[in-house]
Amino acid sequence: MASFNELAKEYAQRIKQAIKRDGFSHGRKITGSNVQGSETLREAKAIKRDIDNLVYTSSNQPLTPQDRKRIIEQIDRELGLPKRIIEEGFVTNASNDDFSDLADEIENILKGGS
Amino acid sequence: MDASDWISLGSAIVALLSMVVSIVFSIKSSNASKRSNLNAIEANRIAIGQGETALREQILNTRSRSEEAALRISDFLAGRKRENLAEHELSHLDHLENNWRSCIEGFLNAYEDACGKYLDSKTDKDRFRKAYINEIKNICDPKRESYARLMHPDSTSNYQAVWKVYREWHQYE
Repeated sequence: MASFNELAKEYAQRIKQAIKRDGFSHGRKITGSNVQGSETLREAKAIKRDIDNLVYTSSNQPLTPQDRKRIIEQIDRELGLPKRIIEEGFVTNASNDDFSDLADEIENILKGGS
Repeated sequence: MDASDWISLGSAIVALLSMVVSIVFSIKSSNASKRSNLNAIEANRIAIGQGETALREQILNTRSRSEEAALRISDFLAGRKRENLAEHELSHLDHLENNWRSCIEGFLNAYEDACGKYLDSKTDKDRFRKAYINEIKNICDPKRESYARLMHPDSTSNYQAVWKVYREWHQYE
């Protein structure tokens, strides 16, 4: 397994690329609806799942919550984000985002959309 | 000392012993009461934990049912649009759609139960807020079409506990 720093750099790079693809930049006002369904949000969720599934190569055991937190904090530093955003929102909250996306997709299909 | 002095002394000793016994029992009773209170607090904490787990299970169960209903619709349509379906297929789609709506209603009912428990202080308030804040925000989001039918407008929605919790967390004077 790569070191925590290497992993964090790779994840931060993926988020930066997703932000670029979404066209989010310093000068642009971004609302909640811009973020909903964005590449950035999708990438952040994918990275969260990746981190949750990481295992130690020596023992094949899942990472401890402290080590997961270390990686997330390192991503935070790589992206220049304030620490509290990562700690409060990214780690501890439960989520129904994916289910809500699925539900909206089904509603759209039932209305005759693609 | 004459006999009356002995009687007085005996009475005094009996009174003193009685006082000591009273004090000892009082201390024991107080300790038992404290232990009983601690046990009650512990039992309450366990009950709250079990209640929170049950709420989460209820939400997960309704979510699973909804996911299955979504999958059935997706499998049935297999990329086809409603206007391309035959008459008998439309009728089946209506059935699947009703099932889907019923599942979403059950899903929201589970959140209504959870928010009701929160409002009745039957959950740990801080933990509940931390765990549910994003989920409640999604449910009350008017752009979420899947929930909007049942959640909006808030004044006529049946999910008043959810709305009350949403306002408590997201609206500031």
